[in-house]
Amino acid sequence: MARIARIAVVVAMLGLVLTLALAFRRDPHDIRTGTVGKPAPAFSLARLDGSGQLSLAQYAGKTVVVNFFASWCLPCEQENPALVRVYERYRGSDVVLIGIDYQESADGGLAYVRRMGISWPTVADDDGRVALGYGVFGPPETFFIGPDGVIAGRHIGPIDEPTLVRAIEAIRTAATQ
Amino acid sequence: MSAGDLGAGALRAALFLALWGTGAAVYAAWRRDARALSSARVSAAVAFALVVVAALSMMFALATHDFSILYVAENNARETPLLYSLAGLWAALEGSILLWTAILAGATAFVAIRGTAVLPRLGTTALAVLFAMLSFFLLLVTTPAADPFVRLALAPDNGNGPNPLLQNHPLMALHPPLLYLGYVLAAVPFAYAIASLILGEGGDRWLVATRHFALVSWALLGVGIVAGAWWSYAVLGWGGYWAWDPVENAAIMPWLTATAYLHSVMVEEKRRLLRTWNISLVVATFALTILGTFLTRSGVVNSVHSFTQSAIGPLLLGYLTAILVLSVGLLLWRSPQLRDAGPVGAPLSREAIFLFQNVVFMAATLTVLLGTLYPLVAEAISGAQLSIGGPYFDRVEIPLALALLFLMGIGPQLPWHGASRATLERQFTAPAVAAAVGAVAALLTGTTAVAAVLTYALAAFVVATVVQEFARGARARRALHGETGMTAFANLFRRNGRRYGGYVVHLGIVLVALAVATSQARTVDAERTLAPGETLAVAGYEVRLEGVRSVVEPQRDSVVADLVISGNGASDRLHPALVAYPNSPAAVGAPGIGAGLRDDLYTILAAYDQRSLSWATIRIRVIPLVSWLWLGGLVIGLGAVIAALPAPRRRPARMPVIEAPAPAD
Repeated sequence: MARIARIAVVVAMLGLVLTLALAFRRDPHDIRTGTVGKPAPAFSLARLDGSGQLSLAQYAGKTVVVNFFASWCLPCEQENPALVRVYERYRGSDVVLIGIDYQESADGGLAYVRRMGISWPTVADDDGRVALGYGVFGPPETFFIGPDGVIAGRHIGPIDEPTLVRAIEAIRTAATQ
Repeated sequence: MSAGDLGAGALRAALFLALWGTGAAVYAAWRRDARALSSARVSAAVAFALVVVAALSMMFALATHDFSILYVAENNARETPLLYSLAGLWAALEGSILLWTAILAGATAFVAIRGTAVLPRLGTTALAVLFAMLSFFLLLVTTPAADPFVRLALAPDNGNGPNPLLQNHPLMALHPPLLYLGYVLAAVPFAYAIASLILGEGGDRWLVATRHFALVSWALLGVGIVAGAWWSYAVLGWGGYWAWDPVENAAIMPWLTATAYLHSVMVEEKRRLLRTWNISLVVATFALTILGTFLTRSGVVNSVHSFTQSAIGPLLLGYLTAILVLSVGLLLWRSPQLRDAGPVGAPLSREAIFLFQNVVFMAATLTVLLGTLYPLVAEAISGAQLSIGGPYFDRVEIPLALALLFLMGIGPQLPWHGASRATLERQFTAPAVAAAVGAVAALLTGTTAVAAVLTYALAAFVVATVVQEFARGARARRALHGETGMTAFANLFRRNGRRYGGYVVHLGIVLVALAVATSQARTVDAERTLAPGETLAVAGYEVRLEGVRSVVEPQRDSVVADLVISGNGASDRLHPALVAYPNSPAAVGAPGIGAGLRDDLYTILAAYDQRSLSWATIRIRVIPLVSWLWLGGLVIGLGAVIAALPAPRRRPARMPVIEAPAPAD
């Protein structure tokens, strides 16, 4: 019994150290994901401004950038200017930006959207189910979905303009080839 | 010589002394050499002085905006007010490690001067352990891993300024140092426990020698956590105080194991039981403080608190591994000598309840640890990412917290060794009635959530046990010593501070439990866009928007909404604002809080008319009893102070009198 306890203690300790050591391999911003390379989970969610539902299916054949955010998320505020610029840049093209308000009431999300000057479509994922489907780690998180409906890339944490543009252009190049 | 040169030089000299002191202390403990010991003592004192000089030079550089130092240029600006300049010492990685090192150097000097005098061999061995740890931290601050005094070839005209969130509230000056003190002082019991294992002492001397350190470290950690919750509440502008963020978890885990230790240590003192267990708890507490530092400073987890990645991660992991290997190895090696004086025995005895309480504390610690590390484990094994959010922690920790509340009422009421039926009836009749009254009162006031009703019932139960204890203690003193009511009451604290201070801590915990349960179950939210003169009614309050104005200060620009509050007997003006700092792309919310004992009116300026300031969207939360949380923290701190105060020495009796027995303990 005591022997087993000793072995258990040593194994648990090794496990802890090993886990922590392996954690260095990850870059908290750019992580491989179980969902990249797979079809984007379909969703249909209520728009924050109350103007009805929005479903991913509406944008089939386009390049879709899905950004998970929340008003309580400070890094989201940080990345917002980059999103605004990229949205303006691709406005009216075949690139669509959708904001998904993560685990929050529509009121909170709407106030944030107004305050931050967000004019792209935003929807509420108040119980976090869609986020679960995408394997969201925590907001902010951005997914890039190709015209074929497959998730081509993912960025965890606040994103910047060059990263956004690079990911979008990569999808567009791949689609035209 | 500039402040930067002075600080950097002082740290290098201190590193040399710490390495020297390690060797001297090892030699002194091994050969019982008095000259080596006195050399180690002098090294400790001088090293402490040098690290203090380094910390003060950094504060001086921050206060005088010396941007030739990279750390100052990154975390300070000419416009930064003095308080936040000084608090800049712990606003980023390098400075906080410097503060950490300074506290550790202080603890090392204390043990060198006092500890080695009281218990020479044990104290000297513990000193060697502390010196070794101090050397590690001094190594961090003198190498690129965390060198706070890195110079810039060309000093910029102005610095970047501190993180906006860190210059928005005075609590920032209080919360991190408290936590760091709590973290670092946990190193002293650890060093003594390790020393005791190295020397193969089977006894409890290490435990008696470090009792105060354990208590003070625990209290500072607890008060620091509450101060952090308060800061989060007053600054982050979401109306909450706890989010199970990895850094919060990192702080609560050692506090949980330290709380378990403070109780199980009594079992060892009274009954010579749980020896291996107590050493394990001290080791776990200290290892968890380092794990917490690693998690938050290495960049492996995502958190509001994490600083940028640096080379410090692998070094901290190496340090943590060394500590784990050393302590677990020593424990396994020495455990045959750590024999208990017998089995725990009767299930309805105080020691059994303490043991059970320890098991629950362990469960709480391990589940928090699991939730914090699970994303890392899952990714290491399957490559999949997931997040563990508040719901997991709430579901697991709330039942455990309720169980602890229950045990907190039962434990102190049971005698050591076991209780008779008559004792049980005498001790629990009144508290059980109180619990029933608490539950009924909760239901009558419209509380329906099961956890909340249970919390009220258990809170009433615990309060009744504490009142009963005080009443009986005071009555006994009146009967035995003929003291008057107030004197008897005061003497309970003076003569048996550890016990009655502990009860005061229990009352503080009850306040915290009530605050959490009520604020979680009964918060009312409202939000509306108002033009000046319009009002919004919520939970009996009337909130009128008087106007929106912009305020320009040297270090920031703000837009402020002026609100007039009436109703519920309140008459107040609140000023929620959105604050823009030059170094931040987005405005930071500064809530306006009308605090009260019954509830807090928490107002947030969510949006405003940017063109003509003609409207504002105001979000309001009426949060009941949340101020009891801070009050609870204060009461916990007060109880800890009472428990830590030394009992007065008994006056030597002039004539032979028969000493009246002290109340049963």
